[in-house]
Amino acid sequence: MQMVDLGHYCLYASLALCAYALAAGVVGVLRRETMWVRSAENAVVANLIGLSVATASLLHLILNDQFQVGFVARVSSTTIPLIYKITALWGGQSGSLLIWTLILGLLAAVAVLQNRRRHRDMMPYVTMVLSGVMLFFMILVAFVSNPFKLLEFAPPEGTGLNPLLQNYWMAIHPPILYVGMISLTVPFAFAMGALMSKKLDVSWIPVTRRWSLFSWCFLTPGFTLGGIWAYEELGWGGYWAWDPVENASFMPWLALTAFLHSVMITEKKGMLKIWNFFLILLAFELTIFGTFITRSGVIQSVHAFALSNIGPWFATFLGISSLFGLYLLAFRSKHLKSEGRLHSFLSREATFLLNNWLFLAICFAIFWGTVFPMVSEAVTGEKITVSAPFFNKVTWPLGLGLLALTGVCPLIAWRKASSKNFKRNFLYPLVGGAIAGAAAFALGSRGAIPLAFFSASGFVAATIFFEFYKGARARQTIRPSGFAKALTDLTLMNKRRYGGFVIHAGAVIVFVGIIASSFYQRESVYTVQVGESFTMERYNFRLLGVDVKTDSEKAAHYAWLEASQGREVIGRFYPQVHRHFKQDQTVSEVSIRSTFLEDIYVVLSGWDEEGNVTFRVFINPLVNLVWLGITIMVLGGVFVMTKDRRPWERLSLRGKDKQEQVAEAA
Amino acid sequence: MVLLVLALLFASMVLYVSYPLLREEEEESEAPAMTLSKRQLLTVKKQELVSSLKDVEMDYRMQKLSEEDYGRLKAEFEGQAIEVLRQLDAIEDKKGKPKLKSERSGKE
Repeated sequence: MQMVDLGHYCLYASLALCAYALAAGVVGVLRRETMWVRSAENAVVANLIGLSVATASLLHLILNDQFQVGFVARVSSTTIPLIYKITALWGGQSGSLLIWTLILGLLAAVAVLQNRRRHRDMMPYVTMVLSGVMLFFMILVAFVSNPFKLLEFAPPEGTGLNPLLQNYWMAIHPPILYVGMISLTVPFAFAMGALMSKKLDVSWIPVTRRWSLFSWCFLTPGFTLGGIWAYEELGWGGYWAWDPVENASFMPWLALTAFLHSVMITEKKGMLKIWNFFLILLAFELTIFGTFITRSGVIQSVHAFALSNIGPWFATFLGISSLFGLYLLAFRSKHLKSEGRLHSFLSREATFLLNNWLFLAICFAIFWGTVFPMVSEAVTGEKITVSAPFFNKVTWPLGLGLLALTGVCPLIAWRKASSKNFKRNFLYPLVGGAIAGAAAFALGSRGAIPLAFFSASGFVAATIFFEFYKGARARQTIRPSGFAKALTDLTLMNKRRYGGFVIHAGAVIVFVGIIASSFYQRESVYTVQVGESFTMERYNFRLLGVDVKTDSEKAAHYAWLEASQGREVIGRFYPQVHRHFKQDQTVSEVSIRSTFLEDIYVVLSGWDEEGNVTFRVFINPLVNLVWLGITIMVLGGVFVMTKDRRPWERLSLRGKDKQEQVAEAA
Repeated sequence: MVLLVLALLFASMVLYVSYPLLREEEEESEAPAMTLSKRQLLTVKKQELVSSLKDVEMDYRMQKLSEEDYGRLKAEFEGQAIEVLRQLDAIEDKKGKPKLKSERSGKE
């Protein structure tokens, strides 16, 4: 028996297990028999084994150059390095769908094993939803886009992986992004499980929040790594172009981040219950929508897969799952009444609400800009493309509002803020904002938008600083200790709150990096011959030579430049253009010199037979702050996910006066 | 060889999936789900109430809350927390069982 057959059989076995898990779950719920529910849960776990073997079979076929398999012939060749043979697994539609389904199977199995005893009322429904989603993807993998499909004639050599994907970031960017997107299925399943089982108290929230945070911790670096890949590989000088596929990964992140904020209001105040269910549903549907536009070929993008017949399947699933979720939410809405009410618009609750509206407004604007070409084509027959200026114009003011709220929210008390409270808590952060704005102006920043952003960043940074400082001081008054210990205890005992501040600090750094690199990017084009020089600002570049190196895969045209600042040589640049023969594709390989303050980004644009060589040179200030800020945000997210140090957890429930226990706990 | 592995794999899958159907009686004898759920729910509530109390305490000490709001909010959350602790004690007395591991460690 061949590996192809092994893969096929395992796929069909997994498909059968998903269908069985769904059916057994339904039987278990209808007949109220635990054995069927347990059997369904086991089927979810067993499905993972089938998927793992199928994936291993496909990898084996790729590594052994089995080009009779269509997918292998399209994404691999005998000459590509081992690492790209492995990444070829997600370099094409059907293989990446298999990986997607494998990750879904893994996360579903973990969710089932983790919660089957903890949430016994909800789990039958959760298992059913997880199985339903997996069944959809298994149908696609087994029947619509099967990676084990054989060609009629086995070619002696494969086409090889798309040269644009032959980049080390592509080894980690898709899997991380996939985990972020797919893992949203688990919070979705718990939300739907809570609605179906009518367990509408707070018990569904902790597990959903934890899984949502998990998704967030993968989605955030996932789309950022895509930006880094675009920055290094596409050669246009930037990292975010509001491309539909970039938007597709950003929209679920926005809905998810809104949920992670609003869920705090539900936990603390019993408000926004319907809204939270809606946000989880929205985040999940946006991942399906993103997958649909990426994989169906309905939009043009360097990140998208080729045109395929998979679109109608996704559109149908999107419609069914959305209607299912909305129907359940409407059906249960009478049981989701708010326990509290908004006492004042000058309260922390109100700022959370406003924060949610802003997240959703940004999400809607991006959604509209993304689908508009499709809508315009359907209505007028003409595809009208929406480009970066639209997205920038809409998102700058909303983003500024969001950034400012990040600073305002912690300063306002729950329920109702008094004017005295305002004066006392806003003074120093506002001074911080003013200093940041003045410093930016002194450094040459002009224009209302960047100055407003820099001021808001200073305001938020000062807020965060004082939250830690005043928090540690307050803790010292409760339990006398040194400042460092008070600060550590404060942070470790309330990781959610202070981890949140770490995430906000990262966001401030990201905003500064985005504003600086967007508004103060400089770009020039120069044409020189070997031995000649050109000067851009304080840097002088001398073209030392050009050459072409050819191998069986490609012809690499490259130039080498020496850059100096004053009399000091600061480094050499080797921008290249690769012409790939098999794929008939030209790819630019930019050369970047990166420092904390700025990136010098050199692109080889062209050359002629007379020896003229053209370069595009960009100076991108503070780009590294974007990567640094995202790293801090993710670390903050991971910190929030870890368990609080909670000595009060060990408090006995007995033997003490309840009043005393509660006071001690607080 | 591959065929044998595949056969073993499928057989073990079928066995694993059908195992709960074969041990029906033992499953049915497990502890009632509702009681566990209620206890978990109260534990979650307890955690949230204590967390809210901590927030109120910190907000007051960081001068974000007035004396009046602090007193009112603290009394409100303390009252709720005491009630939750009473209910948890009542469940323990009724069942006569040790606390759940998740309650002791604070897991969901």
